Amino acid sequence: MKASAVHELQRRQTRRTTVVLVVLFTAMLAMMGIRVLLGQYTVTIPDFFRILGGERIPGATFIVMQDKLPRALLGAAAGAAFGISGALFRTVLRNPLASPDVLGINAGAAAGAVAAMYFLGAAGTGLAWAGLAGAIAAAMLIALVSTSLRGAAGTAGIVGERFLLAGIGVAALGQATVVGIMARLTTQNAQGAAVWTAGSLNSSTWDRLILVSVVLVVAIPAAVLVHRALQPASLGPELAVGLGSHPGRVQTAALGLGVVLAAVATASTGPLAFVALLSTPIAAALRHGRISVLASGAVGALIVLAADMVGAEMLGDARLPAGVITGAIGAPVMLWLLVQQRRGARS
Amino acid sequence: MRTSLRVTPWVTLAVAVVLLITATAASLFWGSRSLEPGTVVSALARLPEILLGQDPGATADMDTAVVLNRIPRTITAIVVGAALAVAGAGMQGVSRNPLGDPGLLGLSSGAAAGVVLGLGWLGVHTSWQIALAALSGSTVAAILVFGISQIGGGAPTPIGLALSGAAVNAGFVAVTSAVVLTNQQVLERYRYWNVGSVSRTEGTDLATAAPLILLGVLLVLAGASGLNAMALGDDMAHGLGVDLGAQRAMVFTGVVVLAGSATAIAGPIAFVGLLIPHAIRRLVGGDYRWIIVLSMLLGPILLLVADTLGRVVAPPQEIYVGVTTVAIGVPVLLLLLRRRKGMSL
Repeated sequence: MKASAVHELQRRQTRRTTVVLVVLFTAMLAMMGIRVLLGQYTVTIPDFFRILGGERIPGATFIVMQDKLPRALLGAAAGAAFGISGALFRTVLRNPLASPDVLGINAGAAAGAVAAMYFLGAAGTGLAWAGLAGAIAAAMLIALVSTSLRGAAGTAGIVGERFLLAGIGVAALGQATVVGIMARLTTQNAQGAAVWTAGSLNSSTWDRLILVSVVLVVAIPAAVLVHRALQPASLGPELAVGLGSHPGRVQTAALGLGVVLAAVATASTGPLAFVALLSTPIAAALRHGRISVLASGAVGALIVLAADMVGAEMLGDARLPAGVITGAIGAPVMLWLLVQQRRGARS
Repeated sequence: MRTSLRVTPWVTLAVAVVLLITATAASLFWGSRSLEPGTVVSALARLPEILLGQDPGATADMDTAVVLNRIPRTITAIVVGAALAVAGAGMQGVSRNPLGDPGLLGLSSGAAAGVVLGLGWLGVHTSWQIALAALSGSTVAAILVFGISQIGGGAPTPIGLALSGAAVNAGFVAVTSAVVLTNQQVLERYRYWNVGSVSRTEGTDLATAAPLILLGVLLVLAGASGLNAMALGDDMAHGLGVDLGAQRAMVFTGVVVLAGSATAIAGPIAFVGLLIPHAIRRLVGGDYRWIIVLSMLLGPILLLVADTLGRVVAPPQEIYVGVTTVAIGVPVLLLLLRRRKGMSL
């Protein structure tokens, strides 16, 4: 192939990337608009801008400023955090199923929140902080277990497999804690705990939104940089070191960043099942199989916004938390991924 | 596998019987309320009269009541432990996969979804109706997990099977939470049922489940020689004249019946079905006839020990057996998987 042809190919690829990103972000903004303006309580576009301008319209101002707008923004922010986290996990662990929600991070957050509810009587923001602590504790436990597994197994087993095993174990422990404590809560708390552990945008407040946004502002550029630095590692450790990269350090940084993003998102919305798992392959499919941090983030935001719209507005009287909707969509997709993976391994 | 650990099956059997008797005694004598051994013995001595209704004053005495309460709990632990361990052995044999466990592969959450749907939509309430709902749920889950793992051909890898179990699990959890979040009464019953426990089973539940469990054990036991042949590979088994399809179907039915009925009376309990057959394989080797027989003894021992531990760890609170088995099971699972050689059957 001539040099000019290679250049042409690269240029086309870059253009496609830009187009995909622009389309995804436009779709995300449109979905946020739909979430705020439509539904069982509709707001007209002029009214919306008058509310944003500070005008007080009885009823509408309250619903938009206290419920719909923070809900849409937090949904987008948390979804983006889950999506980016999923992309980082998948790139490092090189397994489509290695995502923070399969590997105990969500279960750890749920265990932390439910434990705080039972032992400390936590509620509201307290639950968010407890969830954050639980998620980070789970991540540390996984890291600890998977490094100790390496010590024993020698060179056998790749990073992904050890991490997966430790993650499945930690997920089982977190699950057992949640179930054990759920049976001890009072009736009222049990209802709250069930909603929290399913994951929902019901308690979207501006405080939480600010927390997630601050983390995202720092984490998005960091994730793009780390993801770029990971590229040499995908060529294999020997070649990566030869190219002057430090795969170990970069991989640790990427996983750490992924854990922080997943933990913060989980703390603010509860463990929304499968968002991290789903957004990466969907975004990759749009880009001919190449994993992109930004595209995954946008897809994650879209999934959460759509799931919340369906759960809260489109099921009539039964208002379901967004996490139930994502879980119901996620299970078949995960199974499809497994089948794909087996086909890939065979061919 | 380290051969130095091998002992003859008969020795293991004798040791297991002794251990089972010890564990049963421990379950009767220890609890969150500490009693003098003499009190327990005298209460047990009065048992025949109490059962015949000739000792009406017995339940008025607090200590005797506590002992009487521990008896159904102990029996449940024995029955459920045997059912789960045999189910695990059968499942590991059929799938030729060391991660076969009713909890890990989503059968328990399938049963849970069945129970919740039954409670919420079909209005079931008697114990045999709940058992039926749990059975149908675990059947659907089993068909899904194994059906999916067959797509693409060949035997699924242990991790592949565990992950499809996790996916099926998550799907059923979504169904379950959709129901319990919209129905307060179902949530109330579900959250107690969902934590595995042997302490709330009543005599009628046991009477419903016991024949089913017996049937399941017999089905798996009848397929034991078939499982031995299957362990050699499909071609070899064919050569030995084994009707693979029929044997598989029989063991599979047995496993689903065992897992479903155990879950119906005690709620989801993970890791018993996983750990016990593994431990036995380490001790006596891969003959499924022995694995199944010993599972019937060692499963109850694990469950009795886990339940007794949960009672004495933080009195007067009790930790449910569904939690203690996971706390014991996860480290052991990781240890087992660490040795990749130990994973092959």
